[in-house]
Amino acid sequence: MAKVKRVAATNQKLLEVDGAAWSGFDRVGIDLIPAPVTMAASVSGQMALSQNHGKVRRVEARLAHNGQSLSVRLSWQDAQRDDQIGDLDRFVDGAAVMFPLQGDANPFTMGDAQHPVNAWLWRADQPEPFDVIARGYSTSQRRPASSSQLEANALYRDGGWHLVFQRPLQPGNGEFTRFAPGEPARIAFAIWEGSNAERAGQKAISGAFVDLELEA
Amino acid sequence: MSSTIPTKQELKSSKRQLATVIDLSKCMGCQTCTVACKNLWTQRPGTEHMRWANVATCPGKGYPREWESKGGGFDAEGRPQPGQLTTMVDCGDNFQFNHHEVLSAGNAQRKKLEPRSASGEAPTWGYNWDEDQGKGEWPNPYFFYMPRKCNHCSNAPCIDACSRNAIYKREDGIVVIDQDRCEGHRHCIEACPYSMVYFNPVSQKSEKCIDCFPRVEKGIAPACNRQCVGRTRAYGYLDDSESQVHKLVRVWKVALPLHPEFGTEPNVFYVPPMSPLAYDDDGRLTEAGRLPIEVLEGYFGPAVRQALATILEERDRRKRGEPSELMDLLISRRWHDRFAEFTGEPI
Ligand code: SF4
Ligand code: SF4
Repeated sequence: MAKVKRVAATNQKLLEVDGAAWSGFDRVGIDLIPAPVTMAASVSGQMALSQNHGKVRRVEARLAHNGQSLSVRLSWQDAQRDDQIGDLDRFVDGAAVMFPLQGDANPFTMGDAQHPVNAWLWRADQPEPFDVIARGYSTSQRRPASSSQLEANALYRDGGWHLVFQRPLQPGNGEFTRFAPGEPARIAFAIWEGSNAERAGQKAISGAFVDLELEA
Repeated sequence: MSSTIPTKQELKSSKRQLATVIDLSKCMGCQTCTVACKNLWTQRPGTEHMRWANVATCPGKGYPREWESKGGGFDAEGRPQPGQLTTMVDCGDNFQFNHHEVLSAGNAQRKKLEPRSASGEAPTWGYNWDEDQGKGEWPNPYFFYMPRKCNHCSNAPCIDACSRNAIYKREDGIVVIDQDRCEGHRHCIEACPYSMVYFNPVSQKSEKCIDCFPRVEKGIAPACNRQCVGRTRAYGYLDDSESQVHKLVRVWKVALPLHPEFGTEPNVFYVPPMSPLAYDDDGRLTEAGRLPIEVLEGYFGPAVRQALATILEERDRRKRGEPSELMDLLISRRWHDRFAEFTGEPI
């Protein structure tokens, strides 16, 4: 169980990766494992052959809300900054957090037809993040950040990425996970290491959802 | 998306199957097919390196470079095999020239036209870099041309590979990549043992030959087939017993898939090249061919022996003044006989 601390800082201050709003915060260390791609053989026989993905093994998360928005600040080590597709065989770094849309969902498969998941996806070469909805392998849909007022801000420094995701607790209409102060929530994490050709299901993941509680 | 996620078997099946036959004895490596395709489909940003239709010299490194050793396809048990991605240079690069420098006032005598790789370096590889090199020793060197495009395989590993289920076979057997579903993960490029999928770094999606389906829907043969000046190509439905493709592939069995051992059941078929005759040590022409049969077997499998035997037998029949349906098919005195119902005019 991790606490989502209630803070007084504005949305803008929380979006600053290096901002004072984030100092003195508890960090939750999350161990990552290579995503089990063999489970996905029916949607990608080629992906299921991957053996060396999941290079990043730990991500540190800080979680805050200010009554309006949920902010998730992630840090992880990555010796090579891959923020451009420099050649046809190159991939970029990326990160995502995922929540069940409501109730329960299987994080390994990105949910299923009855149990959708909502994810926020950041890619190092894209100016804006994507708000993703998925109902199992092969079904994920990237929606523009504006659809849920999702924002992201990233910084590469000293051999690592530092990234803040931020989205209103209660976005407008649509299939988005909703949060409320005093209520529980669940989160999962994924990191893609571009220089290791990680993309799609070839990634490092936190495995089971981590339970959260938003401070009242 | 609803709960009805299509199975790979559904994505891979079709009502009918369109096919192309290419007669390698007639291909002269003129690249008209390459250019016909490029003009139509790959002049958009990010497609500069792509040649959905292409021609390379065999034996040689091929196009994209060393595609035959990049893996993919299936093993004998039908299991998908790991594959490698191609690079910009492998795909023939996107040379930039110093036209401005050479053509500006007074420079014409001092500067020469120099290509630059997309990387900015002097090129060390490019499209058809090893053209006409081939193999063999003087006075019996050998090579032939290999025009290629997507094989629109009946057991397409690119379809199996796509984690987005973006690739599927149309009812006519043409394999296409849904650009709205593709997210550029490139598993299809790794899976295709023919390296016939290309990554577009601008749209960040994968692209490949679409067999000119907008033409085909109007009864016009694909541009590579139609524009071929060598009259090497036939096109039509494999199950249409009147079509040349049916007759050459199914009846005469002289048109063979390239690398059948990849297990993908390609639908581009090749009439293997007849060999030029070899010279002996005294410079006299012999009856032996220069092209080693083992080399041809390496491309087309053991069936190439029977296919060539059939062609030579029928050629001899014709030389004796007897009729030969096969020779008539391969000659095709009327070009539109080659394209079944796809003889419409493109313009
Ligand atoms: S040749 Fe390659 S891209 Fe074309 S259908 Fe076969 S596997 Fe797919
Ligand atoms: S246009 Fe015809 S003859 Fe020319 S290279 Fe292509 S297949 Fe060969």
